[in-house]
Amino acid sequence: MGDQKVLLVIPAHNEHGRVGNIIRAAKHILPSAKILVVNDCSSDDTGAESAEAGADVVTHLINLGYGAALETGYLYALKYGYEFIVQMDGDGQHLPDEVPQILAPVLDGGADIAIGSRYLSSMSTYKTSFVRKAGQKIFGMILSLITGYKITDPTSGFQCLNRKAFELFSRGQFPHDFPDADVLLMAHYAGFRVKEVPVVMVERSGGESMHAGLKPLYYVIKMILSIVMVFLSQRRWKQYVS
Amino acid sequence: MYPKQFLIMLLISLALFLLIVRLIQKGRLEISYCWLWLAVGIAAPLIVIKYDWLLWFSQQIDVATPITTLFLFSILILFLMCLQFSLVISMQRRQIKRLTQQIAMRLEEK
Repeated sequence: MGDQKVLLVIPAHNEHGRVGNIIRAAKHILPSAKILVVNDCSSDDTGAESAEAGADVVTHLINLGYGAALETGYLYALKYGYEFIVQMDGDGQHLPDEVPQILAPVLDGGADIAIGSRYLSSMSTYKTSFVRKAGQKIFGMILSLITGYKITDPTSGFQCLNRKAFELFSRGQFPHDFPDADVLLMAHYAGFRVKEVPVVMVERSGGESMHAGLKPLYYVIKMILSIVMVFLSQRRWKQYVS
Repeated sequence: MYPKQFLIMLLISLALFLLIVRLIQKGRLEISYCWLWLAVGIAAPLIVIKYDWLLWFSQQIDVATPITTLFLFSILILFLMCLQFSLVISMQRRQIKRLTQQIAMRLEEK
């Protein structure tokens, strides 16, 4: 696989004890791809563990959030001329073995964005809270209705993007906290081809989820607002195509 | 308005105006963010001195007592100030985000 232009971006916040294994496994799967860990101001040894495992590490001096960490990865990819980005979480939910599947449709030009869907795979053991699951279902339905194609897992952070896509997302409009259904809607209006790929996801192997506590409730409300805003500003995203 | 009431209100509103001007002068309140405060600082003593303007305006908008007009516009101004703060905070959040990202990449280069 010609993965020399592929950047694997892992946004990480306090993922000590997990992120190193992911990097080592990913290096084994994609030996010539560069791995970048965006250390979002971790208070543990996430950065050191990542560097030790062989990843390049950029460290936010203050905690900016998951979306902003991804955006840093996009900026990095633009700066160093990468053509493809695979983004995966540093908590062990996304399996490095699945990276080739998610990369394939974008590499062969069949899609601009590939999303790993845990709901297309019968082998996924991933469990989530009721509020978040309800949100996923509702947002998936809204997206499917607007875009005309079926989206089963709009909240999946396991994605592959080509340069066109991450160029758009690095323009400062990318959500700093939960880049989910709203981003896929932006991509749709910008004329990008989105494809879902079945992937196995497992429960995070420790640490605190960004969807812990009351955050799922905030997530649902924020996402509804964000989707409405993207819908209202669709002209701006459509201009990107022209 | 009773004389004592007039005097107290005038002193308070003038003090407010002077405080705002002083803060701008010292550079503690940025000119770009102070236009609403300045408007309040100018309007407050003006309303005290020209109380009949407030009475006239209340009649024009069918408000029975001038105090209601004052409350209405006070709330409106507070709302606008909150909105202005939200705009400034949003802008600064974007700037801080981009700054942090650029610093992170510069540090990685070294």
